[in-house]
Amino acid sequence: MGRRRSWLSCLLVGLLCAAAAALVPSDAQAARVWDRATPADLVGGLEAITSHPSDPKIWWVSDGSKVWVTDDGGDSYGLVLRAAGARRARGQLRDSEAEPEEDARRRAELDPTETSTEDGASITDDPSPASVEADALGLGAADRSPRRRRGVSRGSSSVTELVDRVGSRLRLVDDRIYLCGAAGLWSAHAAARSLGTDREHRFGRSIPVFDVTQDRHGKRWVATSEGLFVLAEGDRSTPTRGNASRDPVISMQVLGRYLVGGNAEGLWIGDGHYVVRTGLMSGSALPLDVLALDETRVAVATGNEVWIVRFPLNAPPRVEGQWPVAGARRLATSADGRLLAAGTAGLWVEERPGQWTRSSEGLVDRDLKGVAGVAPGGQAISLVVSRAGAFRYISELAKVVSDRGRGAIGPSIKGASSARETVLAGYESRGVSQDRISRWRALQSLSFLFPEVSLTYQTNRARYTSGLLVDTLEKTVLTDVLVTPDEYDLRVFARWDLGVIFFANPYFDGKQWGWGSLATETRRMIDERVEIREAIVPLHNRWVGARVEYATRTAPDTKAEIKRLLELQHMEADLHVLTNGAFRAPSQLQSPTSRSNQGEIP
Amino acid sequence: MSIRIVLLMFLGASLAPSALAQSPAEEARRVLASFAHEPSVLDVQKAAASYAEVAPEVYASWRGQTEWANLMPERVNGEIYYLDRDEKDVRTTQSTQSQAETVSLDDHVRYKAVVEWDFTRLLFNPDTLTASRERSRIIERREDLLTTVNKLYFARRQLQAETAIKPIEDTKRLIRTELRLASLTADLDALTGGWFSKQLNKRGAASTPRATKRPLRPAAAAR
Repeated sequence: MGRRRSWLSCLLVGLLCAAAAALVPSDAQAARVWDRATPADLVGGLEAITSHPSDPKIWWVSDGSKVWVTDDGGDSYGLVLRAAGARRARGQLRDSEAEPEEDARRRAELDPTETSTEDGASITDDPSPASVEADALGLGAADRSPRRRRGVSRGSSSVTELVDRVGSRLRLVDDRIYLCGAAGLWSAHAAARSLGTDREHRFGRSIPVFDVTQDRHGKRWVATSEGLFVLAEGDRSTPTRGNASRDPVISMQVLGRYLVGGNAEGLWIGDGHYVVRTGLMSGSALPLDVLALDETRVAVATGNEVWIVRFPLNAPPRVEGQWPVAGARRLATSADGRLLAAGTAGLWVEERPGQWTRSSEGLVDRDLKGVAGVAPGGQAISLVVSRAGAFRYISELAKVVSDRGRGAIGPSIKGASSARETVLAGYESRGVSQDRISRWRALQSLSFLFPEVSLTYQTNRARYTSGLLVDTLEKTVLTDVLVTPDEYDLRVFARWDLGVIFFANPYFDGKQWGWGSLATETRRMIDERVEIREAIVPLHNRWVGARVEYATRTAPDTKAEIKRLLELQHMEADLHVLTNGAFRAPSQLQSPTSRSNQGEIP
Repeated sequence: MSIRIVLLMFLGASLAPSALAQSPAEEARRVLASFAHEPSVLDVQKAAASYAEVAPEVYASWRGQTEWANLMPERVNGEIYYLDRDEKDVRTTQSTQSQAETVSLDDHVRYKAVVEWDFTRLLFNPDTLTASRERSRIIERREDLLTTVNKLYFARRQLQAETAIKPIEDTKRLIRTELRLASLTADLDALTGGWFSKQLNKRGAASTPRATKRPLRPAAAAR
């Protein structure tokens, strides 16, 4: 009997422990934030980015005319390519596009008696059936042509518009990094960490280049506004022989034995010389970016959608998915294998097939120009560029905006709270730390161990008397007396609700203390953490920047000096508020020109 | 007002030559040091938080209270039952036509107490969640309030400093500056329940003898 009891108690304890362990959640996946990691000598914004396929610390960024490389995960950059005349080329392209319109306007100004309309017809001509119908529908002259024809003509005629929409692109092909854009095609050695290996690839005349790739035979293909070119040794690039040399090619990728690309006519597949139109996106959308997902599938960004297209070996291509993704114009795969789409509405991540969520906390500018995944193993898992510079998506706890800069700006912020410490102090101030949520969950899971207890104490005292009334005596004669002295009753009830071992609480609506309520609180805390991060990290960055600037630059006059000192103090006071006083700021620095040793500013 | 203008112009004029001789950093430090007698921004924050009842002391004890609240019984019932009963039972015997009366005189006293604890809440009290939400709201209000205080405080300080380094000769501009300064002071007063002006008056009065010795003290700092 005793052995059976011990066996049962062991089983019960084991069950309880297992249930508790199952209910206590494991550590959640580390939250990530966007961290700015931009070349120090950048003026203006960035337009393109690409990363090394195997080294997570190497990537290249470009502003359209220069290319920088980092080999320490974004902590520092080196200039490796300078495309001379890139900006001038873009301006010239715009001017040449604007010339016909300008000429027409000038002609109209010179000849006020001109009576022809925009489409060349004279106002005295009889209206055509098409124009009558268009007028009835309320369309202007520019809207009369069918939508599809308009799309095609716009895509093929206006190179400037294409250049603007496609933008610059960086491609790492074998041992060279290529910059494609309005200035043509430039490249530098991938191993270069400074200038000296950059060169221009000429095509006879200056034409915009949209993309470059290398097929499995090692042949390098260049997508230009005048079709495909083959990049030959000695920089003598030649146009392809077949039908791929007619229309602008916007983007392309190698898919197995073939090239898949896109132009104003839609998606095509071919061997480079001869291509076959697939009929997909013809006229309805512009394939701004193509990304090969595997040997038979590509993802295509069209500006407001992402298509997943499969090219089976012995069957026509088919669309596997077509998801509305606002602003998507660049694609990449992150280090954790998710498809990324960047564009005017920020960065979208495909969490599950067809389920896109936006990831933009901490991004200064959400109009993104480029996106890149990073090889697994590094701190960052994805990268984006915008007018605000380059940003890496890194673990929140590994986020060391401060640590990154400490080496260079150490003296300026020596003794100060790092960004991470400040954010954690902000969490602590608001009471939204991860430890707290985990502790609640654990305690709630173990709540069933304690019972509900009811204790009842009762004391009773009574006297029962019986008598017989004797009339003659007019007295009552006691016949029976029963006295109950103090008797007491003590009861203790303990009640356990063991059902919660398997299912904690049915109150999902959060009325009482169910999981629903805790889940709501957890969600609120996570939202607050995002808010805190978004408030503290940029402020801390600005503060570090202001400290460094104060230490390294001189104010032109007293007014400017006072202004920047007060700005510093203001930021420190705000950080003090957001961390409930936990933020540590080092003592005020002496300005580089200061000869004073008067001590601290009050 | 006119006295202030004259004083300000005098201070500005006396400041100008020394400004020429010093670097901007030193000059800025000297100007800012001349406001040392005023409450610091942390003092103002503390006063504003205290006035709006959003200081950390308001909710500091909530956490401990919610955790230990369930050591106390959830329900306590007490009952006192007292019975004093006299009964008379009259019975008539048919055969003898006699009556017999039986009397019972009972006396009962009962005390009962029921105490109930819910120890399931001892480990995790769901009121913690409510307290946490309310705490968060208070903190949010405090942050909004104190960042506003910071903004007003440093805007006022910048205006003071600029007035001190460069005297305003145009009366219209000077009046506008004075009004702006008074408005910022009034805003800070509104957020601190008048504490800010009281402190300015108190500390200003205490530092008046020094002020006469230090030509860097701007006239605007007196408000």
